[in-house]
Amino acid sequence: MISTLKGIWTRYWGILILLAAWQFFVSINNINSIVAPSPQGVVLSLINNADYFAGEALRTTLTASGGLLLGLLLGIVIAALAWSTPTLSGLLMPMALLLRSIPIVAFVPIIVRIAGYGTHTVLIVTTVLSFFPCYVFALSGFQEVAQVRKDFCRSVGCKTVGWRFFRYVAMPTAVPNILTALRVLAPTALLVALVAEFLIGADGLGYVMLRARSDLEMDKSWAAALLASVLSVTFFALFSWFDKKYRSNWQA
Amino acid sequence: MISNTSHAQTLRASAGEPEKAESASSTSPSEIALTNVSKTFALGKGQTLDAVSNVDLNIAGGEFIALIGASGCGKSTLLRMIAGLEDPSQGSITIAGQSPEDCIKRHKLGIAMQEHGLMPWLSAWNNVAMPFRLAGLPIDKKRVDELLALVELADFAQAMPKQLSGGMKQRVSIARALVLKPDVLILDEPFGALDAVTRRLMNNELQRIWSQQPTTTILVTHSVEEAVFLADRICLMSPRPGRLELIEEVELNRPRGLDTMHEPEFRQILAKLTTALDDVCTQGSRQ
Ligand SMILES: Nc1ncnc2c1ncn2[C@@H]1O[C@H](COP(=O)(O)OP(=O)(O)OP(=O)(O)O)[C@@H](O)[C@H]1O
Ligand SMILES: [Mg+2]
Repeated sequence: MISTLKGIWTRYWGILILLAAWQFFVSINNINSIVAPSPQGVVLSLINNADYFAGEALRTTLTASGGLLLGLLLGIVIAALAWSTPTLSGLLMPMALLLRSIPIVAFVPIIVRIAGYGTHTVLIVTTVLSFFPCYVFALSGFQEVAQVRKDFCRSVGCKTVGWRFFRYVAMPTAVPNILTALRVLAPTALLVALVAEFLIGADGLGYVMLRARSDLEMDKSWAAALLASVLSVTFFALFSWFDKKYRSNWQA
Repeated sequence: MISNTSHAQTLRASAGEPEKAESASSTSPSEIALTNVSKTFALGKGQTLDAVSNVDLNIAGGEFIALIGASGCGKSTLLRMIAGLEDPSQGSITIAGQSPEDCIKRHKLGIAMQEHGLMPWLSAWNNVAMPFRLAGLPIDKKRVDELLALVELADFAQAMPKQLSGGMKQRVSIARALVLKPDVLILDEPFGALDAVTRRLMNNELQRIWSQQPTTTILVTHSVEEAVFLADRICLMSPRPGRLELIEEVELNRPRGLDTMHEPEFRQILAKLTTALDDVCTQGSRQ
């Protein structure tokens, strides 16, 4: 027990000190919780509304991971098409760059106009913004097959453009790239989902933040923000673990 | 040339087990004919490079040829042309009377290169089975097991490439090259990255494997010793443009063992070829 506490202290003492300073600052200056809530207040708000927060967090998590996976799937399929048809890849790459360079705050209202308000629009936004990085990572993965491997394939009568080559060589070659895309994009997808909820007013943690703030319930708003960052770190840690676990089989 | 074929085949019959010898007689390995083969690379800006120039060579079915020469003299280029991976700029190459592409289509060609090129995400077994998958053939599981046993890696069938040593990976790569029962085996410095002791062991194994399978083999190597130990004939290439400078018959008895290397004939051929190689290389650098 003591050793666990000690472990937590040695790893996270920076965060703990920050929390203590925050609590100290808020109590000493007697700051109103509308301006800045104390850590105690935030934690209490989380505990008192545990069910509510859990539900909203789950919703955001599901939309974010759903959008990420849909974007990934779409990215892989379109990248496969682009791999087999170079003209298509020439067409798609500038489009990918263009769409990536539109800021999300400008992008969301456009999609809302087309798709309407609601969680499905959050899903669409997350999917679209995950799609292009996945597409770029996957396509460059497919194209990364080393010359020796291509030579070997040709020597057994397998053309380096067909389906068989794609399935047995190009596709597996792209796996580390796809893992990287997932690891990098997972926290981004969460952020995108939050921002979209916030901007659209669709249910989820992003909306909780928005509404609590307008109701001047700053403990709740901060609690939602805290939860969102915890989720984001968890996403990153989860996909990093996943990445590490599977990548090791790609090192020759 | 003709005497060479029978020479190689009698050796095989004596070295292999009875049933292997039988299979050896049922399929006859292919002879390879190179006629006036040249390769010129375009380097851009109107510059060209003659990598291989006017090579004439006839390789008998079942013969073991070693190709030696200075770095950059065109050995790999010549091999790649024989393997159908590159088209000659001039001249023609036939394998059993047909083009290398035909040979590939009939799955009668196996290659193993200096970089083993195994698929890191597949176990040794699946790597050896890969040619079946890529060729769209049903996987002959027995054949894969057989090949892994042949290169003495039966116990490592489920190991991933990263768990294998450099020599083991090369053996998997050679097993993979042989799994479709090729008539022609093309090896480009497969043991280049290995230490001298492992290399000698691998040479021994390669000789054993070759004596059990009816395969016309062309091996590129930087080691004259390796060439003399393994080959029926050794071709020496001169650099820029790559020509065949010298063809040397190695008339040492088979199977050759570690003690063969101490025989006076071995030493003699080794000395002769080493001198010739040095001459060719210094000529190249003087130009
Ligand atoms: N695709 C290519 N394009 C242009 N030049 C090439 C190409 N491939 C090889 N060359 C040139 O052809 C020459 C012969 O190369 P090659 O790889 O056949 O040499 P090598 O004898 O195999 O050398 P090493 O022993 O170092 O492997 C070199 O000068 C090389 O620069
Ligand atoms: Mg070479």
